[in-house]
Amino acid sequence: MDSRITLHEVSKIFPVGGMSGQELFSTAAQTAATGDKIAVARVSLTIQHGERLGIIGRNGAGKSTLLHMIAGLSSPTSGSIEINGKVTSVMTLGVGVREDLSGRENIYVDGEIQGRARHEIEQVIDQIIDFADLGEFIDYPVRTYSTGMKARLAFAMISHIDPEILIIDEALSVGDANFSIKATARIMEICARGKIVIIVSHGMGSIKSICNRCLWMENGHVVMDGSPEAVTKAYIDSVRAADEAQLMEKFRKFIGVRSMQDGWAVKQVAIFNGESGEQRSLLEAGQPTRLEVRAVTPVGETDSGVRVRITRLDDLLVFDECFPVEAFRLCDQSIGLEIEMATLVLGSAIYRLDVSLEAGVTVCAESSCIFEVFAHNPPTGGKPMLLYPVSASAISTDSLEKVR
Amino acid sequence: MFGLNKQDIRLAFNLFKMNVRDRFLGSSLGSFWAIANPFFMLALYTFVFGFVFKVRLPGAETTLGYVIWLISGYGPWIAMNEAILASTTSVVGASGIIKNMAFKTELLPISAAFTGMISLGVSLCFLLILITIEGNIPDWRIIWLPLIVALQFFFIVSLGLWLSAINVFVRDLSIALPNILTIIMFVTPIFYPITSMPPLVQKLSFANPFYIIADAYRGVLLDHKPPSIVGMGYVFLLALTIFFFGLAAFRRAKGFFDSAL
Repeated sequence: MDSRITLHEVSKIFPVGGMSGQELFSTAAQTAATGDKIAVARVSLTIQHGERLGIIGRNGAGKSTLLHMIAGLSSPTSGSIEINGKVTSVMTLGVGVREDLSGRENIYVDGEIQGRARHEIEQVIDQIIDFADLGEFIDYPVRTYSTGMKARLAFAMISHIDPEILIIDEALSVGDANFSIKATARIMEICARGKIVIIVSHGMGSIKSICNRCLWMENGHVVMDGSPEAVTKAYIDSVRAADEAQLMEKFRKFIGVRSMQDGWAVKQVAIFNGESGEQRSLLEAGQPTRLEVRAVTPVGETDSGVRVRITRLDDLLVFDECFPVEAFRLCDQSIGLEIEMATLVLGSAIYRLDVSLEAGVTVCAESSCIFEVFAHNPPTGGKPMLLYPVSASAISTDSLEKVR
Repeated sequence: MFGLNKQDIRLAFNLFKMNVRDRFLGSSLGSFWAIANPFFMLALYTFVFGFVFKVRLPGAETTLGYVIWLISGYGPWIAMNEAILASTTSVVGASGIIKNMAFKTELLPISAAFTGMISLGVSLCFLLILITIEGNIPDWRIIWLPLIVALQFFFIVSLGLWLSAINVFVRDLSIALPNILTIIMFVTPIFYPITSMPPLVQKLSFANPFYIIADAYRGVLLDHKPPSIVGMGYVFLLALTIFFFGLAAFRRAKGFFDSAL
């Protein structure tokens, strides 16, 4: 018979402020009171024979709650779940491990928890011991184990399961590098045998390598359902966009011109970029760039300076320099400062430029603005801070001599 | 029966074994304590009431008579007390496996209740030795004993289903319960004969399942008379009702254990 899971309008609502025991008496389906946390909201889903479903999403998106309901660990507040097939779930490794018993005895305990008879456990125990690879430690109490050894034992206990429907909640990597490879291989093997596999993971790599269908959840809803490649990409993009929006919000608070003391003011901050030297706020990487600052400060303040600071959106300080004011005093007594970059080496991102006038350590006036840098051929795989311009030329015979 | 199959009964047995083992885990004598503990306590009672205080039942010639009478009621009570407490905390105590494994959680209070069997067994053995020494050997009516034991545990299980489920949501229960049980013990004629209780308690005792059970033990073991059919039938119906509604309530509530544990 084909395995199949059908979810119809499944919701789970957690009452805020805890339970009072009313579950024991009330037979009516509960409805969401105001302020109750809706963990899963009317999810309908059909999982067919042969599907390996990965569920991704942020913390608190309702992934685990959904998984727990499918595994039968909790029941939905409303809606129905229909399951054809025997469900095996791996939520946490090493649940029933007793510290005072030896590894071998713990394997029996684990089997007992799963309702196996002793002779059934004896059939697989050698396989488990062999997989855990603990040597003589298998007959020592678990409290003498290192964390990694415990994890290995715990993983080995699930390594021989032969599931129809397998549900795994983030239990994919354990132990040292060697064991981790072995464990991942075994998980793949188990998944390949399972008729239906459902995995919750934050590792996009494991989702992509194990699953053939992917679900993205957000606030209890299914946002996207499709191939692992498409869904993980959309998810990662969205996470990045949301992060940036949040940072932008924080960044914006700084923007503006402030003058804290009379006689001090940043009059103008301008960025010129490109061959033609236009004033821009969207800058092209690799182009000559010039920064112009105009300000007024009281004459005669000897200890004052102009601080120029460039911060990237993710709070990375790129440039911070303080120039003594008096060196830049123009004939009309105002301050004019120019910073030149032959080529703009900043990587593509959003930056904040802060210019502040300081007398000693006190900030007397400041001005902040945002600019963005784009590159025509940005490097992939991360965010570089600097795009360092390199120049290539033929190796001269001199330097070849030196190398020798 | 009641939606439980053979696999579940095996799991219940496994859980029972684990309960007993876990209680004495790490001690060098291990599960031996499960037998030694009640035995030492009964021996202490025998010494104190038989040789130190020398309490006598009215009309009895030896002090051993009181000790036998006491243990025949108090022994089953200790087992009941132990079983009810174990059953009540069984679900909260197994939160680890409840959150990780789908199984019939109603097996937890049921299997926990049976841990009381061990101390009951010790009490009955101890009692049989004392009875043999005293010479008042029970007659054929002792065949009623298994029925009384079965009824007693059916009653405990039915209470356990309720108490363990309530304890998940109202943890205060397991803290208050030992005191409540002590009160019940003193209200029930277990330490003193029913004739020395206040008249009101005497009347109420005939509806007190704890008294009916204690009295049934004493009747069969000491007085050579079968348990009262009315009393046993009453306890059975009471337990059946509590069990029926308890199981339904438990099954309704168990979907929420996950979020309350």
